[in-house]
Amino acid sequence: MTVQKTIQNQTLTIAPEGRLDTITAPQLESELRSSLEGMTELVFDLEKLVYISSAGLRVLLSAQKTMNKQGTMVLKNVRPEIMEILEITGFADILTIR
Amino acid sequence: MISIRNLSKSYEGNRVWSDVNLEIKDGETVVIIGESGGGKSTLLRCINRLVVPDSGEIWIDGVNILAPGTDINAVRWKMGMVYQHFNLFSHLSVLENIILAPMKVAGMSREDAVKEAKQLLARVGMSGRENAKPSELSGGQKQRVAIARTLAMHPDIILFDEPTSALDPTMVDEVESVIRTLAEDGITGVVVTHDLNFARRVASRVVFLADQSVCEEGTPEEIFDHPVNPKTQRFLYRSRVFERELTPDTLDLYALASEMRAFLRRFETEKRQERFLPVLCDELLYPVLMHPDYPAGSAAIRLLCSETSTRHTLFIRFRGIACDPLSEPYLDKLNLTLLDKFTEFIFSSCKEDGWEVCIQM
Repeated sequence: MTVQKTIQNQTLTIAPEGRLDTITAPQLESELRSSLEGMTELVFDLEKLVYISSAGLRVLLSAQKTMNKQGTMVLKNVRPEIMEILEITGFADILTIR
Repeated sequence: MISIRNLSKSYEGNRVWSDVNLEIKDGETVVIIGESGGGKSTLLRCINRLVVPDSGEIWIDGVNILAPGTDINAVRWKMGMVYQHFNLFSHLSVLENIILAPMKVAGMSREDAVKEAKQLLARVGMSGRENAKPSELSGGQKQRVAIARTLAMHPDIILFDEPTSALDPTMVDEVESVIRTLAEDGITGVVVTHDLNFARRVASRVVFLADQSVCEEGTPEEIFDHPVNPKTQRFLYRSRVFERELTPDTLDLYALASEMRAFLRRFETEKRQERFLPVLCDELLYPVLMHPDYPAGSAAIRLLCSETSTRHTLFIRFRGIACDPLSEPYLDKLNLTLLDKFTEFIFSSCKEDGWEVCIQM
């Protein structure tokens, strides 16, 4: 997985590409930990994310908890196969998806 | 009629097979199966003398093609060969690939060759793709063009060397149906394949090559459903079962998913089942084998694939494990939800030496 990171004003956009799984989730988690401070908006652009495991979902949930305290978080460009996972796990109800 | 008598072949002192005897009648589709490295392709290539055996005879329509003085070109004129990797000329269009041999070798006029090539393309379901380059075609389409090219020389016999090995499973059907129509048209086919489903569907007779000779032969039903020889029985069992022993030290999730995917693709599968493999790794194997406090000592995986349906079954025996792997502290609701989503059913049971998880994929 590669992660593209863009910061504009206080908006952080994270665009992971590939697979967010057991092996790669810690990489995204560490990326977020070092970048979220001071951000009021977090955008996950998931256009190029093809697979997500529970470890990846946990990273999204943790980011949502952080952003609940300091702003908003949104997922955009979610592919159907990822949307399916978000729906069956109930994450589609607790995350904002655009 | 092809008659193979007491054929033997060695490479640098290593015997490939010896005293092979095989009769292939006109219009039959004979499929040769066997372990990798067992000499299936070597035997096939002896039939058109691309490989010369050490001893024995091969008679084709009353001519011993191994006898000194045999006009091998005349023999080869009756035969076509279809290869695993298609061997199309990449710089030529589909049409040009097909008309090349009829014009250059058979001396046919371009007009006649083009007319016939179009008929052949229609026969293999490729009408309208005359001007496409091979790079613009799928694997299945390339193989159908390769078959059309072979047919352009009007062979009585076609030798197929692993014709579906380089194809996605979705493309096997289209090549299979073309090969079936050839048999219906009376062309004799000799096919080498490791794809046993394909073999079952396309063969009028199956030959199992093992331990340097023909071990068993019969109809697809006889060989696949009621094999008599224990070697055939063992081969068929092994061909349906994928086994791996995993430990926390050697766990490579990507390699495992990739190997299992390659194995599964030899059988009928649904997309959901291929999608399940990374889920299996992420939601079961990793959390149990790599648990920070209570890692399982090992996991023995046994995937049993069905040859007649898409119902494949997976058994995972965890040894050296603290408790039921489908429960806390190993898995939580999120892991189980994802596992449930991609399986027909999943359950665990306590065994003498650990816990076994059974999954119907």
